[in-house]
Amino acid sequence: MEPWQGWFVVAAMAVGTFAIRWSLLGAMHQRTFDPWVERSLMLVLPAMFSAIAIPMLLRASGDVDLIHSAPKIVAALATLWCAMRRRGYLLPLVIGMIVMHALQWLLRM
Amino acid sequence: MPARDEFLAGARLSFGATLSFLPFGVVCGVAAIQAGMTEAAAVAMPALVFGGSSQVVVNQLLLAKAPLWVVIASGLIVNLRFMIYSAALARHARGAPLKERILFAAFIVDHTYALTEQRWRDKPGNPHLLAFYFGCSVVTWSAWLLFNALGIFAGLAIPPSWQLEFTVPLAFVSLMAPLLRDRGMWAAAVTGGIAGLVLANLPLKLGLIAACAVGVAIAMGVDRWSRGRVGSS
Repeated sequence: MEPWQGWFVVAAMAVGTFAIRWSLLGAMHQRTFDPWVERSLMLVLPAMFSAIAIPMLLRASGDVDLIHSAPKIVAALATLWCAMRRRGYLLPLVIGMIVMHALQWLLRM
Repeated sequence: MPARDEFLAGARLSFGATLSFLPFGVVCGVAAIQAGMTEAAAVAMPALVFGGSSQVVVNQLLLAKAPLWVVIASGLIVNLRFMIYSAALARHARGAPLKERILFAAFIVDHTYALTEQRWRDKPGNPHLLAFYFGCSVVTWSAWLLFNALGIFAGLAIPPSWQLEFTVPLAFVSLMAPLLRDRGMWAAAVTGGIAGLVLANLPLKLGLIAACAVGVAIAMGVDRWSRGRVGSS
């Protein structure tokens, strides 16, 4: 990647993200969205995060490989379980990492 | 409570929570360097964009040699949720001068939004909520920059056997988990994930955007179906 491309992405992301943040707070703070628009914007988060996370868990080497991905899948489920029950992000992450390393160690034995 | 005390309260409350972003920040820094960014651009990214999830998406797509417009569009789609936060926080910023509203907008992230709303619920009518928000923002932004810088300048020294990069999908899972409170949210997560897997090989790396659209569309359908069931019973 050329250095200008990196700077272009940073600049476009900075301007675009600020515009998103400013959109309702600044320019349109008296307007309200239709409920369905607001709901669809809220649904973006789980859809997008899941679309990012699941391929990273299951397609680490390019193809879907459930056997080799098993420790990561179990670790992600442990993180999900923990994060749904507790506030905060650190403990679920730590638990997920411990579960993955423990399972990988057990499978190597 | 004077404005200064509210500012300090925001900073204090934020401090504990920001530590949880340490591994995520380090991973973002490492990913930016691995994606081919210069160190200066990699530092500018968390400072100016200030959105971890979008930074990861951008770095992943840069690494995959996706076209720049796809990289930027995907990153901005991830940040669309800030529009919801912006709408929710607008009521606290009404009457504030333009300069303060600009600052207010600049620091909207999941964490500052959640803490500010929590403060509002705990202290309804708090006249110094903006001071509280800025206290949160200063700590969160500084910590985020520091954690990214650690990844950028020292991250490659971390042994690969630690598999620190695995904290990225885990971070997304842990950020998503508290939202999974109704059928629509579950539907968005499950179908978005499956679509992400199936559509991963779309040209121009458009799979992420397409998967997100599929997840939201199906979840809206599930919402409608759920309302229909409640209405008919």
